[in-house]
Amino acid sequence: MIELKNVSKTYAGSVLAVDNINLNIYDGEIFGFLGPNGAGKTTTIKMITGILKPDQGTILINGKDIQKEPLEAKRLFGFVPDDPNTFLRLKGIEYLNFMADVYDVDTIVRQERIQNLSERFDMRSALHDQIQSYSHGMRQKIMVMGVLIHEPPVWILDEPMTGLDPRSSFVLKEMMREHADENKTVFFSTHVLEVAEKVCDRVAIINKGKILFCGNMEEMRKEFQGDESLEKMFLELTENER
Amino acid sequence: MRDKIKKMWLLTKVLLKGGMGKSKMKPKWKVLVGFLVCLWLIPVAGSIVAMVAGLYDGLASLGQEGLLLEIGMGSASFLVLFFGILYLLNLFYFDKDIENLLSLPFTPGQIIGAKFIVALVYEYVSVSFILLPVLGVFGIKARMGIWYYLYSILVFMTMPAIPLVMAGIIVMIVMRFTNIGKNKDILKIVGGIIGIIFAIGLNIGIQRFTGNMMDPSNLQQLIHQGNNSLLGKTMILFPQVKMSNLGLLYSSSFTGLLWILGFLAVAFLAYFIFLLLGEMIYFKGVVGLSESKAKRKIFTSEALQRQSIQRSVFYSCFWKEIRILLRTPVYFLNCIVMNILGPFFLLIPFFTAQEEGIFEESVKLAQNPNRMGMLLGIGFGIILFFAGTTGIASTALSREGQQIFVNKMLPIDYMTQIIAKVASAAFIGFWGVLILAGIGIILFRFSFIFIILFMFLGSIGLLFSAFLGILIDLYHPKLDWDNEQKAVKQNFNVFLHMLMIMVFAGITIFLSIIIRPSILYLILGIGLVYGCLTLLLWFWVKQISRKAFEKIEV
Repeated sequence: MIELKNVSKTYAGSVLAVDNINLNIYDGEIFGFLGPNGAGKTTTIKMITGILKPDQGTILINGKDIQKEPLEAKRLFGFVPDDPNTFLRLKGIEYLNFMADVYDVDTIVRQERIQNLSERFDMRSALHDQIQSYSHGMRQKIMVMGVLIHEPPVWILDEPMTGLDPRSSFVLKEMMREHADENKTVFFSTHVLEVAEKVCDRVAIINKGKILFCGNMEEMRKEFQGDESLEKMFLELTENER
Repeated sequence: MRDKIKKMWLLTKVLLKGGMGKSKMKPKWKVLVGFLVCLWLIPVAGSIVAMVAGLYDGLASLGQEGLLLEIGMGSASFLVLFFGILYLLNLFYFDKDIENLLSLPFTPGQIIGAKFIVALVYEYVSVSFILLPVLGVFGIKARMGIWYYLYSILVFMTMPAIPLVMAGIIVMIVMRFTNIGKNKDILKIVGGIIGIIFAIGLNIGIQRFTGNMMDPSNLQQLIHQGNNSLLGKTMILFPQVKMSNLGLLYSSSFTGLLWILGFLAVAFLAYFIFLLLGEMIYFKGVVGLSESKAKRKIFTSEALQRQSIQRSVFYSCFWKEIRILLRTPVYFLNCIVMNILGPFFLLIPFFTAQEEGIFEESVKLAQNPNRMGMLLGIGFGIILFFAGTTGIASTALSREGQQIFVNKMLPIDYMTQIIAKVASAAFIGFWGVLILAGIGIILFRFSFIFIILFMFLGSIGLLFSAFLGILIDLYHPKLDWDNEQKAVKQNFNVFLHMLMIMVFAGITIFLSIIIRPSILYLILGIGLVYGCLTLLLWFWVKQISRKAFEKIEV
């Protein structure tokens, strides 16, 4: 479970990127974080993962405060960033082992997981090569694998579908569902509405740093009158704010 | 043609802007840095001017004052050629913007022509340390007229171009013939090393050559002729030096104008030839250079079992650092190669010295038990010096760039990450120590005990340097870069670290020579002083590490 209480963040003293938001993401659900470009999605995610320090408010991950107990809190989640261009000079297998060492995954368990994940994502033949030789989608996949190697109770993914081919995208969605069904938490950001519509149990819409809506699809449709497509709703929602 | 030049100029402007990088330094820090630079610059500039003036007086008494200009410009040319090889190699072939430039409708000549000018601008900064005092002192002392100063400006602006053209041509030819096969990273490194070795060879060659030229009996005769008759004898490698010298010397007459015009013509011709060569071979060297090797070999279960074994977090972080340093050509060439080749640079004087017996004298000195303390102190200073030049520790955070968010997001204690970086800097520094030790044993026949003590003290020096470097980088890491070269070469932290280490190395060597302590006192002295300083730095780093990481917002 992820809890955000009165969280705000200002950049360079003046630009209010996130404005006093409150969110609860419960165990067992896939939670979509929607918003146009520059709405504050990535800033929020960076605060949850301890990359940025909020100006005010608290963030708890399964009850651990990311500011007060950073190491304990960080152990509880796995984070897939929107930019997969990290560790480019390491080989795929070296990266996976690095992540396994960081999260104390023992030898037997890691071997089993590397085997499973590389088969599921069709990456077996690439593990020997440096990540810089991978395509964008393959880099995305190896990042996802690195995060899943310690089977964290909370998943946080920033635009995870970008660059994935349909099959990998399907596999990832399937895994997100499995994960949530095991009563774990999945939190992901996207600006692709169809993905959110198909995968999410609940969504929040953020624009200009404020949460405009939080609830399930049904509630969202109700709030924005009946049958209109989500896209239209989404446009309407963010349009009024401009 | 006009359109071509216009486009090249357009590209040059963009590249020049990009090269400067954004400075995120706080004003307070800027003032401190500015102050430190001035503090360093004033005595350095003062001593250069004093030295040049002394040299002028000496030469003038022999009627050879014109030689001063030649020595100044000759050494500046050499400096540009030497450092230009590495710099252009990075700029022409390993820069990240190359990929984008290749896809734009520029001719090879336009790309390297524009990049060349960027390099030239940087060279002005480095040669100004030599050329400005030389041109200025000569102008004042020889009471030269207005034309001399006008020509001086022209010469200053044009002079570095010719050795830089030479460097560019060498680089292009080397890369043309090494850009083959699949493993590009290794080839980049091999190309770079060939370039460096070429530069060292050139250094030795020139020193020998000028040494022969300076054969005493020949020299005496020439000196007696007076009247600047030595001009043009020392620098056959750089013919333009002679032309510009004569232009400056005879600046009051028409002959001077002719020489200057000739000099400018040679410079433009050289640039033109360089562009022409670039048109022909640059693309062959650069296209496909960024392809990376991929085997796409099936990963067997045996390989998985062999390679996937749990290790400690520290071990994993440490090897991650080492792997990245070794596998990234820019880091390898800038941080590691110098560390390995550096010790061999120290041997150059022994091979080029004209006097007989210097080497034997040195071996004898190395056996003298009364000098052991002093030699150990000097050895320690040399290790410090090399550790200060590599920049591994002082760019440890900077090298992470925008990806530093990973360091903040992973559940690894910041201090563990920092110590892994310190250890990697010390580990690679230790290769240099081993090479120095090997040279000491094989060539100078130092005793085994001496070498062991040398390695022990050296390790303390390496740790001291690494902690100091990372402390500097923690205060303001340069993370806003788009190409690795900016992280290690155009990073002020490296310079600052080098400066501080040189002060320590200088003081240590100076005191060792003055005091000539016994070996026991030296070990106690250095061990205690540097041991305590290292502990102090460790404590300091520990105090600020969390705050420093929290301050980083990417």
